[in-house]
Amino acid sequence: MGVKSVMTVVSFVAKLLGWLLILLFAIAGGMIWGWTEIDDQRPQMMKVGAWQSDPAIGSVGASAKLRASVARWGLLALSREEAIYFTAHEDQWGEALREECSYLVEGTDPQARWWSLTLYAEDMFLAQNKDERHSVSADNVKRNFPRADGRGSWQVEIRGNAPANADAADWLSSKNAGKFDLVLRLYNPDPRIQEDFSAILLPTIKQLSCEGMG
Amino acid sequence: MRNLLIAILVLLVGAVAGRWVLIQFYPNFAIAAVYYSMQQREKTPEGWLHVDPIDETSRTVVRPAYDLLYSVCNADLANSGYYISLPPESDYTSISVYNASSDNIFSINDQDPKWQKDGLQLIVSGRDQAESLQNADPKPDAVINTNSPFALIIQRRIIRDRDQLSELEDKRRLTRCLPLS
Repeated sequence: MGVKSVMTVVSFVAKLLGWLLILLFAIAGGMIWGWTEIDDQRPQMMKVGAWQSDPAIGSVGASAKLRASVARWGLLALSREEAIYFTAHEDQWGEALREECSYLVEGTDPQARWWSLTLYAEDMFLAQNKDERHSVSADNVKRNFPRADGRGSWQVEIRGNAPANADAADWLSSKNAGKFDLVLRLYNPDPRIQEDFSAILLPTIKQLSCEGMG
Repeated sequence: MRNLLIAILVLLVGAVAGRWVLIQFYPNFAIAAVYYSMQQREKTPEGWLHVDPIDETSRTVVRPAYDLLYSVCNADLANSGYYISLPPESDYTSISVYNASSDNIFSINDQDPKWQKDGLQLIVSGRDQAESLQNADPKPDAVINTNSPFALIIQRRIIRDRDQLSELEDKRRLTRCLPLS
């Protein structure tokens, strides 16, 4: 084999490697593009007040993007026949929920066999603060005007430090939670609301005050 | 000029392909990661991994429900199906099955009339196993075909009062999730 032939082969291999590098670079870029899409906590979900959800969560019929988003933000979610999930990242006025502020969540018992409201820190796990105030549920929330069927209206305060009457009050701790979110779970939801999420009685989230803002 | 056009085309095709692969298969990666991490942990003789009550140190699956007690059964369906049995329950209990694509393909809870009356018997099957398992003895209430090499089976119970956890612990120890062969 002559020098010319060797040079031709080397040139061909170099070109091939160049194209391969471009392709790998493009694939990596595409994966980063895909990741930013599923890392966005607000995919094309339906929004009711401060809350968002999607009837297709957990189902085989969900779009690829929704399935990826659920795998990222709520792996092992149940389909709506068993449970409906609503997530809130913002208050009623569209401001991100954050530990520097306190909030009042007010609602009535949603139309389900059982429900819970849980606060998750920015890393999607329970906030590490030793306050043991991560969640309230249909079992332990204090209702203002209890009705005969046990349902009624309730209020829960979210704050970074314990209120004066910490044992008596309904409150969730946002200490060390950063930009947190709230997840409302409805177990065995009424069949009517499974078909129409907009008919669900969802709580309101109002900001009370923020540190350094008076 | 021709090379530049080809480079742009390769970049576009590669980027679209990369995005597609990630979005399409991320759920598979995520559930496989949980499946294999659970695989390393010790199970009870009844086949379940009874997860400790969730607290702020729980870091395996994102957004765990603080008010639920979880048990997980890692079903390796490559060679055989799994048989699940639970006695009748007096409070919210559910069984849900997730395939290797992370889809919740089956759920049932304690309000099911058959479960309330006689308890629940299920078979979870892998690829090409469902038909042969329809006539298994004892006959199950349902055969769930995952069409997957593995499945995660999750048992959930409501913790109404953390002081009564020992009762829930006793109840979940009466349940089974074992390979058929």
